[in-house]
Amino acid sequence: MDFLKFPRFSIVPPAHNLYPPRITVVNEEGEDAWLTVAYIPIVHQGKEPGAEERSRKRRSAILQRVLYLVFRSAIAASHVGVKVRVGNRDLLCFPRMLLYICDLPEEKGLLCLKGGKTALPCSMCTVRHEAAVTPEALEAVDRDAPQVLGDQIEASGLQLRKERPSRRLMLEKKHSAHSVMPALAAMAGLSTPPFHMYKMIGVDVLHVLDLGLTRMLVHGLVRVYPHVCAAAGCEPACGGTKGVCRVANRRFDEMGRRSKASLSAPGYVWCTLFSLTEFQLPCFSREITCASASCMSFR
Amino acid sequence: MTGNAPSNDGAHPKPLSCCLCDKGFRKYEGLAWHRRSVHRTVIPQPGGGLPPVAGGANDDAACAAPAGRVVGGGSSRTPPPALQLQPPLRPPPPPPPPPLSPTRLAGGSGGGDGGDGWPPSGDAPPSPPPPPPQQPSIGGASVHAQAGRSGHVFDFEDNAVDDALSRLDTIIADTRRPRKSAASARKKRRVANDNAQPTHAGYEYATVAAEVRQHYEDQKDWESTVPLVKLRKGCRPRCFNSYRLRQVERFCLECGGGGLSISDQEKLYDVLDAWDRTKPGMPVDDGHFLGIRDTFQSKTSFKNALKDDIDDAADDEGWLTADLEEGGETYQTSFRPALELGLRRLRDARKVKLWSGGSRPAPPTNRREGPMDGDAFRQCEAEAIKETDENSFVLGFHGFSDASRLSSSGGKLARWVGERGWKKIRRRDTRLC
Repeated sequence: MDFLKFPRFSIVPPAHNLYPPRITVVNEEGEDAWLTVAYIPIVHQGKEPGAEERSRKRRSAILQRVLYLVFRSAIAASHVGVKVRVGNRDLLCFPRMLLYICDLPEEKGLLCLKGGKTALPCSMCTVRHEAAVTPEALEAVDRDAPQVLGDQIEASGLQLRKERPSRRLMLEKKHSAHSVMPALAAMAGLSTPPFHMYKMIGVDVLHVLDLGLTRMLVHGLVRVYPHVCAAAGCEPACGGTKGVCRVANRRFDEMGRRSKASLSAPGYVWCTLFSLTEFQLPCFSREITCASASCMSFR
Repeated sequence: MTGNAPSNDGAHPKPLSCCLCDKGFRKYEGLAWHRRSVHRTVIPQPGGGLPPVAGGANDDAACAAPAGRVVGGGSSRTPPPALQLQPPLRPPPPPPPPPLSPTRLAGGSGGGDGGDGWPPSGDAPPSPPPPPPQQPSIGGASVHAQAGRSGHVFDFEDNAVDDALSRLDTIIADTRRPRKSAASARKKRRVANDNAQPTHAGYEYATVAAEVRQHYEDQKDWESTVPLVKLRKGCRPRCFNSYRLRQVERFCLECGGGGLSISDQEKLYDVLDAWDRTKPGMPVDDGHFLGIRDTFQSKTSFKNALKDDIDDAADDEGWLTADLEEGGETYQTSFRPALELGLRRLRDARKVKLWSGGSRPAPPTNRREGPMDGDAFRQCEAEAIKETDENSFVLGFHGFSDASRLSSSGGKLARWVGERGWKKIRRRDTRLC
């Protein structure tokens, strides 16, 4: 009966751990409103043998299935369009996923690519692991979305049917991809022209602001940006260095550890950082420029 | 320390006398043994056995007592029962009595109410005789009976604690003696230190308690103490002086366990201001003069109404849930379709831009002033229009997710750790936030 004399209570972590994907609609003018569209459950890892691999597969599968649920109607409409009326006009609306900002592990999970030390570590290009962080990496060609997705679909089918494991493993090794179909590949524009599947990924630079190379990169960009603007003869979008720092810190001010349903924008500094026309990178779009910049910084 | 030791060889060959049988004693030890063996008591008698002469005889006897005994014997506090039942032990021989100042009596014996006299030498009794329980005052502060609201009689002077502290300081200061240093500093070292070599070796205290106390007093922590809070200028407490206001105050201080934050307090003020119909510019509607009971008859109806509003809002936003079975485990997810959400946002938006060129698609550009300037949007737009006609537009989405940014439900599990391990006790209502 000691526990009656000295009751020891303990508060354990919250009952539910979820993480929310958000979207914003670019056609809406004004401040970006980031809307929570789902709460994805966290898949915990067990302690039994092989639990790590099993939990990884579960985690990836849950992510893909939730994304498909979220974008199910958008995927359908992206191919055939959805009728809307604007004033007196009847229009067809075609949803497109233009940018997906996420962390590096989540990026791999989203695209169903292998992470860690793989032959092709980059999600956007086919740079070899040995050639990374070398000048030769700049000449690496982009991932061919139709080919990679086609091989992923074939490997996924082989795995479902439990056929030809050697072929499946070869396909996996060829693209450093898992034998899983990415849910977003069903959306038009990603697996159809203009094939943005591997170009839509934007690395959330600020969210790893406190980590090593990214930290140095972002801190350097914040200082350099006003001077680059001055040299280019244009006005920095957010003022001088203080303004850039303020914009960079908006993310931390507005988005805490505990995400809440909020209309406030996370505050990505790089939306304005890369608005210079002179800032020529092997870029594709404003968003892809950011991803390319972060990609190049790692090469 | 200065003072006069009581004389045992002069006019009072037996200066001590028992108050019960008037027997004379030369030393206090004898009186104590007499009291214990004959009268079966060690309760000190007024004056410590000294004849009740006015002036310094009694005081001097008390002042000459060894330190440890004086603390107990001269005190006006009632000793614990264990002290009275303690068997007589033979203590070590006391040190030679230092001369004490006459002022010691006022501090150590309770304002001249009679301390036990102690001979300057000889064996001391084991326990100091406690004061008689009927002594009325503490350090000169009168304890007057007063019936308070609680029904019992208890009160104390404001300076009672300070007085006790000062008395104890006086006792310790009077009963300690300088400690002889083991060896004086060598002359060579003294000279090298420019005569700064400390020669003071501290004090020897009569009791361990006194030494410990003095050790911590010497650290002077008390001198650095300040009040925990600094009252603001014009501080006016006790403004919550009615039942209703006290309810509001209690809510502010207890809500959520730790009370409301400053911003929440401001929000509550706004709520109360509107509830009292005094908020400037507030609209007047049908419920302007209704009270809470007019709408919600009970707490349950109030809670149900809140829950209904939350559920209605979630339903309006189109939130869905699904159970996903993966690898033998079922995970529950909540989501809302992105397309419906995007279309609803466009419907409710003040201003929308459907095409990159305003009313028509625009060619690729190097401008990066908005999301529609990017090549991603313009290429998708071109593809969509190429497949259909110009009566189509692209609804662009930007996505963001960060698995490290968890959204917790806020629910907590309180568990106790007993002999049988962990056990769930309570699970709070979980709610997405």
